Amino acid sequence: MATVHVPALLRHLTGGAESLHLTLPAGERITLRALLERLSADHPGLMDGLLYQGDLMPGIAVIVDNDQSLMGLLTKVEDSSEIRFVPPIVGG
Amino acid sequence: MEPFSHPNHGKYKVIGTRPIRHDGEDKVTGRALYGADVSFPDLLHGFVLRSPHAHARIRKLDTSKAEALPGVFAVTTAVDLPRLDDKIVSSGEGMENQKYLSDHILASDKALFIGHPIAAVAATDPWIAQEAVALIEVEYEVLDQVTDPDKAMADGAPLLHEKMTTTILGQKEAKPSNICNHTRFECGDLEAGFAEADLVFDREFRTRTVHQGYVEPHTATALARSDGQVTVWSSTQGPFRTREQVAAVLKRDLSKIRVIPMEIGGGFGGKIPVYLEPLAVLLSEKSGRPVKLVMSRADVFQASGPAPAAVSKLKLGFKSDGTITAGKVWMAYEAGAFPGTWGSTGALCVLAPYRVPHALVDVYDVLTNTPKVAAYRAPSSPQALFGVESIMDEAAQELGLDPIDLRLKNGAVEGDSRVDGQKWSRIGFLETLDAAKNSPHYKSPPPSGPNQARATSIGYWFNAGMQSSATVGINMDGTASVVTGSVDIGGSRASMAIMAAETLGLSAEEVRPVVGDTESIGHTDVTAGSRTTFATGYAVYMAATEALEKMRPRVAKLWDCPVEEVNFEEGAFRHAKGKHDPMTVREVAPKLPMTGGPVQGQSSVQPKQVGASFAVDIADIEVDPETGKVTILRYTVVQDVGTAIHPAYVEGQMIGGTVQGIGWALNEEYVRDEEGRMINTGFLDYRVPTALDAPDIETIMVEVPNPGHPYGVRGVGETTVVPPLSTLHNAIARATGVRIRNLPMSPPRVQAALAEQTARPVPASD
Repeated sequence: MATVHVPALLRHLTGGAESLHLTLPAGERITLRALLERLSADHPGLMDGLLYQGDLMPGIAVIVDNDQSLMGLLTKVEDSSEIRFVPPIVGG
Repeated sequence: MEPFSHPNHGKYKVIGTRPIRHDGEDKVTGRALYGADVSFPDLLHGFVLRSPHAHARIRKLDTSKAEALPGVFAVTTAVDLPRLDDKIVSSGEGMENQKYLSDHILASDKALFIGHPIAAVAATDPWIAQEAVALIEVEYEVLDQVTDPDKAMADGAPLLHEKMTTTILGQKEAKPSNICNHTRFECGDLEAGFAEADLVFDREFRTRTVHQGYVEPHTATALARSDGQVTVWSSTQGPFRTREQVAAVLKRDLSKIRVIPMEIGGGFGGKIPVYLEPLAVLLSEKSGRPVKLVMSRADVFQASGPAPAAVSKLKLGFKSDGTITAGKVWMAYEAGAFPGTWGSTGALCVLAPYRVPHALVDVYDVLTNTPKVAAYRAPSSPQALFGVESIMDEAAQELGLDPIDLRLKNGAVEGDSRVDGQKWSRIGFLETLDAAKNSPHYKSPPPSGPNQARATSIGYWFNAGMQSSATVGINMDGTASVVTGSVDIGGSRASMAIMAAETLGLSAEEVRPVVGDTESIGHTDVTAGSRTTFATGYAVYMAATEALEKMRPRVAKLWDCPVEEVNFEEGAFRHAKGKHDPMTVREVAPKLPMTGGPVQGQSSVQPKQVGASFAVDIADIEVDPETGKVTILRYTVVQDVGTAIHPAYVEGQMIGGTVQGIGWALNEEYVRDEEGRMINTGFLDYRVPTALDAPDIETIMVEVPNPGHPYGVRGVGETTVVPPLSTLHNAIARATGVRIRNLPMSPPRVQAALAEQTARPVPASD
C-alpha cells in the first residue's frame, strides 16, 4: 500500500489518522496529485490543505521513501511508496 | 563503531592539502574589488529616506523639494514599483508572498519598522543626496508598535498587516493575526512518553535579536541602459537569487538583468535578500546614469535582516538511565515586519539530534515591528538547540551522568527517525561525540578554581543541496580554468580548484578558479546552507569528468586505438593493455587542436544526498562574580567535516562560527528603547567579539565522508555557530550554580543572576 504521512496540522481532516493508505495495482505508477485526489475522496479538505492556487504549497518539500523529490505533485509513486511533506532546508 | 570507508578516501593527492588561496594576494593587498569600489565617471550616489517610526501610516509623501535641489537627478518612491500579485513563491530561502516584496523595498501605505525605506534619491555626491532626503516631506500617523514575538501573538496586539491570517500549509485561518506561520510535528503518544519518565524538565528560554555582523555593509550599483538592459554590481551571496528578486520586484524578464557579484566582506546569510538593488535600478533608469548605494552601519543594523529573537518552552522527559522518553516544544520566532518561515526550520532542528519516540513540536513565526529577519548561519538552529542542550546538561547533572555519555546514549544514527518522520542518512554524530570525549581537552583535569567549570554541548545543521553549475576548460597547455556561479564567502573557490585538480590529475596551482556572473555561467543557487563545496563541488567534479571523457577519444586518435582501450586513472590517460606510455592532461592538451579542437566540460546539478554535520564543543570558563564577566580559559570544537577539501578553510569555518556563537552567547543583542528603536547601532555598542576577545580555539576535524558526494564532502560552514550558546550557558551554570536562560549572558545579566541567587543588592543595570 502507498502510504501518505499526514502533516500534524492536517490530521483533523483525517479523523486524527497519522497516515493514509491506498492500494495500487502492482506495477502501476501514478502521480502524487492523483494519489492525493483519491485519498481526498474519503477525507475532504486534505488536498486543499496542501495546495496553494492549485499547486503544491511553495515551501513544502515532498519526501518519497526518505528521498526528496523535486517534482512536487508530478512525482510518480507506486504501491510501496512512503510519502511525507516537510519544510525544505535552506541556510545562511 | 565501525569506521566508514569512502571508496576514494585517503587516496587523494590534492584534496586535504593547503595550497595558498588563489584570491589571497588580492585580498591581503587591498587589490580585491568590493561593492563600494565600483566607480564610473558619471556615477551618481544614492541615499535612502527611512522611517523614524516602528509602525506608522504614511498619510502624505512630497518629494518635490528634493527633486528641485541642484545636483539631484532622480527620486523614487513606492509609486514607481509595480503592484505584485498576492502569490506565495518559493524564494530559495523558504517561501514568501511576493506582494510584500515591493513594500519591503519601499513602503507604500505603512512604515512597519524603524529604518523602513520610504524614498531614495540619486545625486552627484552623497552629501547632496543626504541633503535632498532631508527635504522630503512625510506626514506619519504613528501607530502602536510591538517588538516582542510573544507580545505580538497576544490578543489585542497591534496588527502589522490587518488582513493577514496565519498560514498553515495550504490553509489560512479566518482571524487576522500577527502569527504568520504555524508548524507542527507530532509522533508517538506524548502522555505515555512522559508517564514513562523518571525525571521531567519544564523550562523556558529566551534569545534576543542578533545581527550577522558582517563588516562590509550592503552595496549596490546599477547601470540601466536605454534598451532596458540593466547591470547590477552587488555585495551578494548569490547573483542569480539577486537577479530573481530584482526581476520579481520590478516585474522584468531575467534576461534583462545581469548581476555581477563583487568580492564579499561577510554575509552569513544576511546578504541573500535584496535591499538596495531595486532602488539602484530605479534611480539609474530615472536618471540615465549609474547609481551606487551603500548602507551605513546603522542602516545595516536597522534595515537589513538580523537573526530572530525566540521564546521557547521546552519539556523533556528522561528515564533514570538517561534515555529520553518524550519531548514537548513550543517556540515563537520573531519574523520581523513581513511574513517568513524560519520557525519551520527551527521545528525541524529542535529535537532532531536525538531519538525522541514521543514528541509534539509547535513553532510559530510572528510578525513584529522590527526589520524582516534573515538567515544567520544555521538559521533557527541556535535558538532551538540552546534550550534543549541546557536541559540535556541539567539532566546529566541530576542523573550523575557524564554529559557526553548522555548524548551518546540518545544520539541519532543512520536510520533513526526524526520528529518530522524523515530518517537520518549516514551521519557522524556519535563519532564526533567520541572524538570530543577522547580529546586532550576533555581528558585533561577540569578547571577547579573558584567560579571555574567545564561544560560541553552539541550543535548541528542539516546542510543544503540545491542547484549549481560549473564549467571546466582545458587550456592549450593543459592547465585548466573552473568557472562556477558560487560567490566565494569562505574560501570555496580554492576548494573548487582543488576538486578540479584532483579529478584532472593537476596541482591546485594549475587550476584557475573564477566566480562568474549571471551571464557567464549556468544557474547557481546562493552560497549558503553550507552547500557550496558540496553542490558546486559536485558540479565541478562532473564538469571535470566530462572534460576527461571528451579527451578520451583524442587520446585514442593519438594512440590509434579504440576509445574503449583508453582510461583515465591515477592522474593520467592509460592504455588498457599497457601498449602506450601514460599521458597526463598537460601532455594531451597541446594535441587538442590537431585532434578535434578545444575541450570544455560543463555540468549543472541538483544533488540530493546532502550530509548533515554535527559539532561538539568543550569550554573551560571562569566567571568574575563582581563584574559578571565570563572569561574563556580553553575552548575546543570538534566537528564532523565529511572530507576536508582544504583543511585550513574548514578550520577557518569552525573557528569563525564558534566566535560568532560566543558573541551571541555572551554579549550580542539588539537593545531597543520604548519606541522600538535600536540604540546600539554601531560595533562599539553592538558588541561582537574582536580578535582581542576571542580565545584560542582548538579544532578537531572528524572525517566521516558523505556517501552522497564523489569526494565525501559534507557542508561545514554553519554548524559551529550553534553549540557555544549552550556550552557557555552550561559552563556558567556549573561554575556558579545559576542557569541563565535568557541570552545574552552579558556581564549585567550574570551579575543580576548571581545577585538574585545570593539575594544581595546590585547596582541598577539593564
